[in-house]
Amino acid sequence: MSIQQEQYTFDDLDLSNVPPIQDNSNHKLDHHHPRELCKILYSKDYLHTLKIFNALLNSNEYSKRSLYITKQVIQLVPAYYTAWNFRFHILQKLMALSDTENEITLDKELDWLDEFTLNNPKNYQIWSYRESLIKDTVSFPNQHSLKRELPIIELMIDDDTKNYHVWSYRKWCVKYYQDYTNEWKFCDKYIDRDVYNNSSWCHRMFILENMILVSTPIDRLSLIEKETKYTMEKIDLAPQNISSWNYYRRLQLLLLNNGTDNHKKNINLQNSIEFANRFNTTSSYALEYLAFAYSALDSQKYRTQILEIYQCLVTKYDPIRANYWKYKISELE
Amino acid sequence: MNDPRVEKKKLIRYFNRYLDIIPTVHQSSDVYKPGLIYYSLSGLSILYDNDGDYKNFVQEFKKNGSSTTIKSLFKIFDNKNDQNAIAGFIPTLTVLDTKPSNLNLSATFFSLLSLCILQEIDFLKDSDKYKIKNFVSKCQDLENTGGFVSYLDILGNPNNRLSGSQVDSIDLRFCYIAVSILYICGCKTILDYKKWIDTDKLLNFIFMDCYCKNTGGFGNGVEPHAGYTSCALGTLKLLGVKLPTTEMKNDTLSWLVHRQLTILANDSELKTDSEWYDSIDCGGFQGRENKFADTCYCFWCLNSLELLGDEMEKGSFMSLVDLKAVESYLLDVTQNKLLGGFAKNNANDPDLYHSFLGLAALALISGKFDSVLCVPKVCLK
Repeated sequence: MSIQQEQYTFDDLDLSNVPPIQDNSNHKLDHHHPRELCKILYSKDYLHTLKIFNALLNSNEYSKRSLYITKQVIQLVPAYYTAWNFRFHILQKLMALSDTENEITLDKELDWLDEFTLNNPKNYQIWSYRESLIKDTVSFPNQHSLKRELPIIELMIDDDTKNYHVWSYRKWCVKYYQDYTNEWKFCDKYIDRDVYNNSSWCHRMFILENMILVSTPIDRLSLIEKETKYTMEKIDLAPQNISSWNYYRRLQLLLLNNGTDNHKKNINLQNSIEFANRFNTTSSYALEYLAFAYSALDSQKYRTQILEIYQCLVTKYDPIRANYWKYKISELE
Repeated sequence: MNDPRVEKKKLIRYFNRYLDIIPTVHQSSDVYKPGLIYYSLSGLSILYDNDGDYKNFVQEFKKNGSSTTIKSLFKIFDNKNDQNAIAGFIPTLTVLDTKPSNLNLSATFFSLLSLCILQEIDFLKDSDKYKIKNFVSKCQDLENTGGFVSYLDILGNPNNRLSGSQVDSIDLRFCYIAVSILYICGCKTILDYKKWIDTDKLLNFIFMDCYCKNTGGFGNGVEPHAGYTSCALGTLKLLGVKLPTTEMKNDTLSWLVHRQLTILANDSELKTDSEWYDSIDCGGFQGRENKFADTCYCFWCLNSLELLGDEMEKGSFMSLVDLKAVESYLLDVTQNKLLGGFAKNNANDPDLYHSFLGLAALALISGKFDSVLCVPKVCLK
């Protein structure tokens, strides 16, 4: 839409019907009036736009000019939920009109949303709004695909590699479209860029767990083995990294819970102990992993080893958590 | 707050400045106004934490009628049918007060807490509380998740009945807020809560959709997050529900204590090349793995530890982290000694949210903050 087309008039609206908004920004403090808390010094433009919005909302006007006003309000107060809610229903109603001139399409709305998102990276209403648009296949039939979603997600994560809302949205998307094919490459990219990116490691585990659900037992094991090899390489690169060690530990838990016999499980744990021991002076997380693996093998038999590890954490490798490790020691006793 | 490192006078000035005037550049915070009021009032009452000071503070605010601002946000929607009548708080007077869809759970929660702090909660009659609980009940997503959204849809469900917004996120924060509101409005036992919400569905949402299995902590079910963890544990505590397995408890405890950042001493063999490591963060807490320390996560982690802890008979789990180191991080690194207030970290300017939560973390450590309702204990006497 060009700017010209967006010049709507609102002269017909009766603004006296909407609750009058007091602009008392020049109101002097006096003792006859109660103290107003957190008085915001609104701009004239702000109050005027809100009044028009209120008038349109009050008269339930689901029109193009209402759509336009919601955009103005969202730009002024991105967190004003009713503006998002109103906008959603206006779009639904305009779509239902199936007017060839109305030019409303899901794609256009997503284009606008993309642009707004780039300028408001911390806003979270954007993502649930976006989900609602995509889920509403009655109002917006046959117009959606995962492909449409990937570029904006990638742009946002490129800009802020640990943006919680965007990673959550990506999870929602792959589940909604049941398409996990892009995800390994995506996780690789961000782990290659920064091996400490916890969001990427967590997303990777989410993908792996879903792949395991749909795999045969043999495929399952080879998948976990492949991931184990990958993670060992990443730990080699940066041993003092909690994210890769968490992932490694979770892989071992998957192995423990995925149908191999006890003998095989013990061999796996023994191998992992041998691996973690390579880092027993360069990574406190390796030590923590060792305590976990010994407990998983036989916490009675390896009690001395486990105690010794906790002692090392108290005195040398993790003194800030000394009280916690002492608590773990007391739990063993 | 008797620690001489707390810049008490400057902090009092800081909070009062916000209570007086919010400049135009912050007008986009309009819908957060009840939150801003709560942060300021709660911050002040932490600073006035001995009985006499607190009484004077309440008197002073009663005298100048300050609670009028909060009370004016209270709205009742009565459809000549008591069963369906709802009530709650709108966030600001600039929004239309004739639409139930402008009521907001967060605005309601923060307004109720502010009224508690000012000892004005009696403003609400029992019939008002009934209507507020009815509003809360309609924000639960009963069809799918069991979680909560924060406001009602303009159109409602297909039968034009009031129901939760179709475009809001279903979120642990709103679950905590919903259950807290019910508590403030009189629900005390699980049976009380069950009159208004489906607690089984809610618990299912918390444990199945939000718990991060094999790492501990709560979040989007994939990556645990300290803020969401505090909301989940607070909700459980209010409902009187314990974590169902010892594994969940142990993993969550481990996850929480690991959020305190440590210094990798020069003589140690532990080394990192992470761009997320900064030695100045030592003692502070991060919200997630491999992130920088942040004032607000000192609060969310300590609060979670406190909520998790007194399930046990061994006292608070807060004692399992280095509390002296958190205090130093907050008071020497993120407190702004010139202007007053706390910043997010050592590099930012102070802001209201972090100023409140920095103080709240310190109050938690000194045992003067209620971790369930998030108000100073002095206000609940």
